[in-house]
Amino acid sequence: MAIAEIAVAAAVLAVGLVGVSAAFPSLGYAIQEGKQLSTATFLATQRLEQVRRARWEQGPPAVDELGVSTSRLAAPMSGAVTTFPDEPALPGSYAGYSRSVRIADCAAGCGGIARGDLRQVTVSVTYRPMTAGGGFAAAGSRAATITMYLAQR
Amino acid sequence: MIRAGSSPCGELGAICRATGGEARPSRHPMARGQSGSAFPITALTLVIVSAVAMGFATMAATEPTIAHNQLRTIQARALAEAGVERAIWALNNPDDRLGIPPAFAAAPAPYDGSQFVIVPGASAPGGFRVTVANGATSYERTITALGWAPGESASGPKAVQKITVTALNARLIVRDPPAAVAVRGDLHIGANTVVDARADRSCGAKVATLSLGQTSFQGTGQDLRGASDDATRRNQVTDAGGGAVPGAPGDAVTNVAPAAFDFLLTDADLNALRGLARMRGTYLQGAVIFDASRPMPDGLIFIDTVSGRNVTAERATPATADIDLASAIIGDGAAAGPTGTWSGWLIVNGSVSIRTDARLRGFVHAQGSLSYEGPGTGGLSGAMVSGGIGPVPPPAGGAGAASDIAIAYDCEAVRTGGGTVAGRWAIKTGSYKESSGS
Repeated sequence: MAIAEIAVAAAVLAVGLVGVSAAFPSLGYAIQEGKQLSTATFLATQRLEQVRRARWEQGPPAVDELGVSTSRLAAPMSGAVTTFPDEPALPGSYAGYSRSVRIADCAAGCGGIARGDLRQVTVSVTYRPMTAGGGFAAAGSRAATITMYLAQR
Repeated sequence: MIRAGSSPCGELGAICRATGGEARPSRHPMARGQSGSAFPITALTLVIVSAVAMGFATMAATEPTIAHNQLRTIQARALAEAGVERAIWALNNPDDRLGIPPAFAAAPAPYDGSQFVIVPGASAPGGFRVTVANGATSYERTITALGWAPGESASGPKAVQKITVTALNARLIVRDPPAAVAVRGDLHIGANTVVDARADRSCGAKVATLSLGQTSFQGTGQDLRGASDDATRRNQVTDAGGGAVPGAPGDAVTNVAPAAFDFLLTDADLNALRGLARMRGTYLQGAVIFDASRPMPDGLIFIDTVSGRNVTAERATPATADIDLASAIIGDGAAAGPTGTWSGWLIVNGSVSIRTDARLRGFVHAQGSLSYEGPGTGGLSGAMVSGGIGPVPPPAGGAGAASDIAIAYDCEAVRTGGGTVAGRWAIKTGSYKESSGS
């Protein structure tokens, strides 16, 4: 093999590899986005199941482990107890995700129903998306949101 | 030829040995044949790298789609559950303009599936269609909900989840007995027994006792009073002659037709009650003794056969073995409430023997025999019935026996278990079915 031959081959290879590798960050970003959204969906489902398991019964005796959010920014409370506190930073492998539960009292209206024995539960998991460079975006967040009604038993 | 102590490979070492020991000069004809191979190798490498990159790109394009599909599916499931909850709310609010009446042939809109109900607040606007239909029994309703995320008319990809559940109202399981004491067999009334059905006519005029066979009096001092009877007389026994309960039944009705016992719990009723008791942790099996060391919890108590199967109806085969039947003995101290009163439903797939002066409030249902011997000030407010299946314990000598007790018919106590059985619709255990698509 002549040196010139090897040089040309190396140049062609370099150009090809650079071209291919240029696409890798954006591809990695897309995969990461999918992973983050899947994780957020899992975390939201997990929290919604916890909410669904909470007892809310007319009784006797009356039981309210659900609680109600006093505003759209407030975690639900039953009496003086915060039933599902906000989780601004989840631990362990879920660092970077935050989770919140809001429970609206349908006495104020839910799709035409204005009764206190129906509530609307909304679970949101937010996360910072990855940048093309592989780090977290400095600003902006994305969310996976699930909502449903719960009727008093 | 290779001789020991010298290598023909010389400086070529391993390469030489790998080729069988022939040393080759550096400008071998094969090496000269590599000329011009750099570009094909480079091209091949680029093809391989490109193929890997294309696979990666395909995966990168698919992953977010999969994740979004997963989220939409979860959202659709939650919206379908919202539909189920909305239907349960409507069943529990029959008087609301958006409620479902207690009895219906076809549920009103939107519970007939005719309207798409939007759930406000969802990030991807979605909603549900829900259908409520009468169930297999009078205390069951079938709810079918379809959740859409985003809405069913939205363009682009959307997920649909279907949930079917059976809603159950426990209070509707027990039907009003026509007597304070009803026995599908012979009934023996002991001395000083008081059975009174006059005080509560809220669910109709009841008689004091009802029996499939004979009703006999042992000793003296009995006081049976029916609600539709001449109040000045007591212990008036009417023989139904194998027919229905007559129009003027007196205080005690005997020899009624088996069909008159249609208020007894059926196997379906027992199955529903078994599920409820399991859910609340009051499901027991075999021989159970309640006393001061093991008081009766208020509310529904279900004592099942050893096998956990319902008792076979009388004369049906295969008959339930006697050893399989449940038995409940209620002794002194069994009512642990602060007032010394037990309230609830006691359902036994076998026999019940009450031997306490405690106050009982609610409904006692024995598939087998029933005996009540409670000296003192105790008694029952409600009703007690016996299915009359299985052996009859001595010394009662009949399917049912009572002595020295006071039983007062109380319709509300029967229906509500003395206020301990919830009267709201809830999802029946084990009825939840979920599927994708419509």
